Amino acid sequence: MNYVLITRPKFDDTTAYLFSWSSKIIDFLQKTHFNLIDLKESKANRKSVESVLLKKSPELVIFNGHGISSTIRGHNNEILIDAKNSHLLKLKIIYSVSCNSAKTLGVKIAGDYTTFIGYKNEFLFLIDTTKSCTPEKDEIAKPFMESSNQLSISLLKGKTVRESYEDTKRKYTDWIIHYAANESLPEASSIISCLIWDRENLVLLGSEDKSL
Amino acid sequence: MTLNSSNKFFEENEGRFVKVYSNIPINLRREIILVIDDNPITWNVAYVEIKNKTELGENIKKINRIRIYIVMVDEEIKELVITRLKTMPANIKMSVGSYGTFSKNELIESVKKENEVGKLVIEMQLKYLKSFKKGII
Repeated sequence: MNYVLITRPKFDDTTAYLFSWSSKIIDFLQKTHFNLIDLKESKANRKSVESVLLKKSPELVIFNGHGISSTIRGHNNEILIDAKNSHLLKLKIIYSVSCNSAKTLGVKIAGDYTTFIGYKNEFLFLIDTTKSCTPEKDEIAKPFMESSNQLSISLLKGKTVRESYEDTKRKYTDWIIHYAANESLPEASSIISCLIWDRENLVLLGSEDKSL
Repeated sequence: MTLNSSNKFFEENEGRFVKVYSNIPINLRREIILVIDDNPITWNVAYVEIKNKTELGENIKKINRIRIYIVMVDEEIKELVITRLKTMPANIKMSVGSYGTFSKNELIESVKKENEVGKLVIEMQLKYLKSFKKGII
């Protein structure tokens, strides 16, 4: 059985958006042969993550939530992954939509047979406060959602990590060009500046030839 | 505002400015890139003033910062970033990871205080402005 693990806590604005964005990945995933393990809200805790990693050994692990350079966080900012249990991610493809986690932790985890994709600085995105109760309808956040989700979608389509990473960078660029060309949108400048930031801070560490 | 007259970037590199300007998407030429005596200056304004050799154009030419933004002093950078943030629509908030989500006014306050979020916003804005020069848009 081929498993994909997704963690998606939901306890503040940022995690609520990431939670919603992940639903799109789950929709796509359910059309594939992969089996989903969805650790959402309070289930996004260290004990559950460690258990799944040990018992199911998922090929792809997608973390959503907060983070710092040395940890990936889950529900209510509980530490899911740090130096003490990072060995559980060996041989896997890890995508961490979590601030700073590629800076130190990602470097430690990545290796010849392990891939870590994540952000080496804060992951920034913009939200429309009039749509924050329905993130899936937020057009201001859409460029960030589509760009971020592209990595998982490309991997699930069977592309290599390198190809998926390039697809994601391209998606960011497509949205940047879209807003650069659109004269009527007052939010264009703010969106472009954040997209450029995220695109530049997304890094691919470790094995680049792996695929699902 | 103090102008550094010894650093006459535009006088020596007007062609370079035109080259950078030419490569900027037309919509983004309305971006604020300078603040002189509380007056925001866009790429378009800088280009027109320099080309027409106006007094403002002469002042802009004396400023090295469009070189781009490498030598601005801290207060000038803050002033520019705040002016740019003021153009952000009021209904938009920025998610800054575990720091939370911030409105336009909260971001401006953070920049003024130079706290962690403020420093991050300054860095992000400067990266954006430098991207024009690098052509990575």
